[in-house]
Amino acid sequence: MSCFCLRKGKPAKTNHDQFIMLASETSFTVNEVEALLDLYKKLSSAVIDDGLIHKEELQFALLRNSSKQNLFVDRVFDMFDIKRNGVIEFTEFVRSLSIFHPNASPEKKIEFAFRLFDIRQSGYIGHNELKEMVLATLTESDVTVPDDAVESIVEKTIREADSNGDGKIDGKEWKEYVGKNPSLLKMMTLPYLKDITLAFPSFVLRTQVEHC
Amino acid sequence: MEPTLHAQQQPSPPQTSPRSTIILGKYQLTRLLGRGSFAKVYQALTLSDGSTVAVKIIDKSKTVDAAMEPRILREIAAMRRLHHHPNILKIHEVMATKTKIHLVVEFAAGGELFAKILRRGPLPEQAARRYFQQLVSALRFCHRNGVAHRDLKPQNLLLDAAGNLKVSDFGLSALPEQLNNGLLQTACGTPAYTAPEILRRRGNSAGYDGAKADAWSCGLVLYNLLAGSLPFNDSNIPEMCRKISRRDYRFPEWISKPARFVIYRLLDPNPETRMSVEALYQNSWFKKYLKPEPEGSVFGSDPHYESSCKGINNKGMNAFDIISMSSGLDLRGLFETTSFGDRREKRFTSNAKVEEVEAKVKEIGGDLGFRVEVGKNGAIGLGKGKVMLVVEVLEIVEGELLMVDVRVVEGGLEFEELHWRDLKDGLQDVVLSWHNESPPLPLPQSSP
Repeated sequence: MSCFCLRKGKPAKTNHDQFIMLASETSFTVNEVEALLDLYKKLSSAVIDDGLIHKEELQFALLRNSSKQNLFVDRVFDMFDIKRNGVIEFTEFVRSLSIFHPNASPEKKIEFAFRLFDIRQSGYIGHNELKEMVLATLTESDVTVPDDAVESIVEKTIREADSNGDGKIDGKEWKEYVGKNPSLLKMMTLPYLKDITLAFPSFVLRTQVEHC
Repeated sequence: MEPTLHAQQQPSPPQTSPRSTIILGKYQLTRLLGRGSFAKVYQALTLSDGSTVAVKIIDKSKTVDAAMEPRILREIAAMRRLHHHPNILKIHEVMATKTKIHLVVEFAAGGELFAKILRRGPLPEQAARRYFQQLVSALRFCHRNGVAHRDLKPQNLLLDAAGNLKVSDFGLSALPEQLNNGLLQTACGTPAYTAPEILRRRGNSAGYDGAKADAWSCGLVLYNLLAGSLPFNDSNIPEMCRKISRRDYRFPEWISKPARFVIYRLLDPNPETRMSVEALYQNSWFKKYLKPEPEGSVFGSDPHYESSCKGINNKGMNAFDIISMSSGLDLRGLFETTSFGDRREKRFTSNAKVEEVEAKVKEIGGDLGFRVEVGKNGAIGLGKGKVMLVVEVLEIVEGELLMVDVRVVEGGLEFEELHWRDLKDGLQDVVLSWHNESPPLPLPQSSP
């Protein structure tokens, strides 16, 4: 698929052609991709300084803790690790983040969120999966909720979303449900990404963009 | 150079003439506004939304001084930090090519303040004071955010379409190149507004108080607004320095006594005894008709507010609302570097009623001297100086269990040091437990 992939174990190569390609495939400009490289470098050297983002590093960035297991960090990592080789490469990082760009299409965000929540990758979100995710969130926040209360929240949600009545949420139902509950997509948009050139301005000194 | 990849996915090139002045596919340059020794400023049209901006184009080949580049970066960071003040020109974006750096900033339609003075002569006291107040307010905001301008000059004081002052080029103007040639005399022969302690320094990089230097420049600006001319105007720099240190200047007879006093105190050659920008707020001439400081709204200043508020009307959270609260799904964490505990967010659970918790948060916030605001979706904003918090109350199990999210939007360090314990103690009555209390407090645990 991609012809400019970075090889595992090698430090990220700042390949201008690759940046142009990434910019053409995503909501980012070449300058923004260059700025994202700074963020990537920072994240990828937090735990293991090899220029690649490992799961511990994502965990560290999101939870400020690199050892605590977290279902959602695992899911986000798997979604970002498009090639499934155990690390998030720079191209994967940029492509995945572009879905979180304020200008990215809602369809992409909806689809990404569905795959994120489809934790068994079965093509639907079932009762057990939903409950597992709710419990994981509550546990993460040290909140104890009686089992019957969790059950009723999960059941109610499935009932609201499951328009064909098969007891689980498929992609089409998810899309309808998000349509009725747009706040569920808020986590899929990062306003930061619009500001990325100001947040990481040092690209201006080494940009390879030829001219205006 | 022609990229030859994925041709079908390439966006079609914008339809422009070969001599197009569209830069990086996003902005169309429409008019040259001004040029400096290493930069040109253009008025430009944003192609995506038709808005007008200004683009400052810095020629990299002319910024020969290697020390200058990191400064450009530092200044971009400073301008970004100063985004929230109405009298500071906003920076929108930075772009760059191999040869040029483009800073896309707010367009000030009213042009330079001093062009107005040149055209119309001295301003009436009331009008001059209004600009002066706006300048001082902007500078105080900068100083409080750890940035001094250091080189205020006529070209940097702009007016927007509504006639409000906009201080531009924060720090960019204080680049070393300009200190060598542009600082002492600008092209048209106007001595710069630079404090004597900087003039005297001549390449000696001994530290000076940037805030005090800005106070000096304020004095010169005020004099210029009221007199229509400059107090010291000598092309011979050493001679001008002598006049400055002897306070050898005259006031036109129409300048009032209280205004003279302010100018006199600001044009004190000794930075130690010079009136400070902060002290102006104790001066009755300055304070006359002073509009209350624009206290930035907590919600307005939170670039992530839209995504931060979970958008749930408190009641009846569904399973996905709960899931959305997981830190593992909050990718804002990728961009945040903070020393605020382990996260910028503190959470607690409560089995009090939603209304009780909200009332308590407002009460304690008020007691601790915070401004209390209520945002969309019932989120509560607390603001005090630099510290801004957003508190959201979410009902997990109706009538039984709440989760309360306390998020630091600004001023995390200050909050942690000054207010966190008080806020926590104050809320104690409605808290069931705090989540993720870390780092552990070094106080002995009292066993129940």
